Amino acid sequence: MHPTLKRTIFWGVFLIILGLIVWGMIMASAKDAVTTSNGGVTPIVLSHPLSSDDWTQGSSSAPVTLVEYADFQCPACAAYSPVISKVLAEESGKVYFGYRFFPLPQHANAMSSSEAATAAGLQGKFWEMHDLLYANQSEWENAADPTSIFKGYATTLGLDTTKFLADMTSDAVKARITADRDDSTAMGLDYTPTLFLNGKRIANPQNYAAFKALIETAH
Amino acid sequence: MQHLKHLLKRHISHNLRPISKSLIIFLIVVAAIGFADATYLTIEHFTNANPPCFIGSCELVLNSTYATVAGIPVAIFGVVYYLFILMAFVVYLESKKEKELALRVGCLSTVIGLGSSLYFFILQAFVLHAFCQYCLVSAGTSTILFVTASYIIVTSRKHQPVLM
Repeated sequence: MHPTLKRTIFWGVFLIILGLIVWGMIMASAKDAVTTSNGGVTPIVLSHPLSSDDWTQGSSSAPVTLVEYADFQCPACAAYSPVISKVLAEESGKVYFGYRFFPLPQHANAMSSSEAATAAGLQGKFWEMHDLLYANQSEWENAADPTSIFKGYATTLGLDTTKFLADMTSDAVKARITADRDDSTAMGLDYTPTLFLNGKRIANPQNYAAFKALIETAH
Repeated sequence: MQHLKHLLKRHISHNLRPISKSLIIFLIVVAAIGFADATYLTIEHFTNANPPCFIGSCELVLNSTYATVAGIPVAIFGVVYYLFILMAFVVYLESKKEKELALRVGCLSTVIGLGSSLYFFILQAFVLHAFCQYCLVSAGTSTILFVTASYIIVTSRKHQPVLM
């Protein structure tokens, strides 16, 4: 065989093998996007960053942004809530945390509890109501009409209950919550709580230590 | 005197002993594994994906601040490194004129991979307290490359006169 031809074939084969490796890796990566395995979740990018429209804690210039899509009636969210609070307290100043509503259809009081939190938020007590709702989830989750229970929490927090009840049923408040819910479904979220760390969905950390480590390595 | 001159010439030219072809093919295969691994992580980085993790916690490691340098994922350096090693040994197999140089450059470069892998291993073990399987694969391939390359250099020199 002519030496030049031999060389051409050799390098051609080499380039084809190299190309096949790259192609194989692209295929493997594309496959991950559909199949989730332990720990890994389908990659989803946060639809829009936190803004003044969101219920947030911490400074917007903090190095780490954590966004939670949650449902006040979801037991896992209630279990996660103190863990998140603890992490936020310990990592004070480093995390910009935002809460968005993802009321699940199977939870009868998910919508009304979100309305209660938003109505409390309009009087500057969103996070206080958020904590009360989670802490007392068992008290209102199965109530046929939880409004009176929520009114009780509003009283505890020293809110103007007349305004609170009016806000709870206002269209603006409802629209605010359904906007988040529509956003959740548009992104394809399918469980609560769903956490986004610096704009990327993450698998929910298994415990406090894992959560803290995750936050620490993100900044 | 003539003899000494001859020895000196041999020493300076550093002629390496002919290496068995299968050893070079082994190096190429290992470098190709490293290349595939780094390529995969680079693609995952740019598609904002978190690769499935069977051991360790890839998510934590790959989303850490150490995973990028000035916005460039470190996996890209891995791609370049393994491609370079791969090319060196393929050139060794194919070329007639540059055999010597390719082997030397290829073997000596493996120390870069070993050093980087050691650094990333230390980061995972002592800073992040988390391991990522893809990073461990790369640590494995770069260590094998280094050990094999060292073996090539050491055994080829053993048969040379020592002039010290």
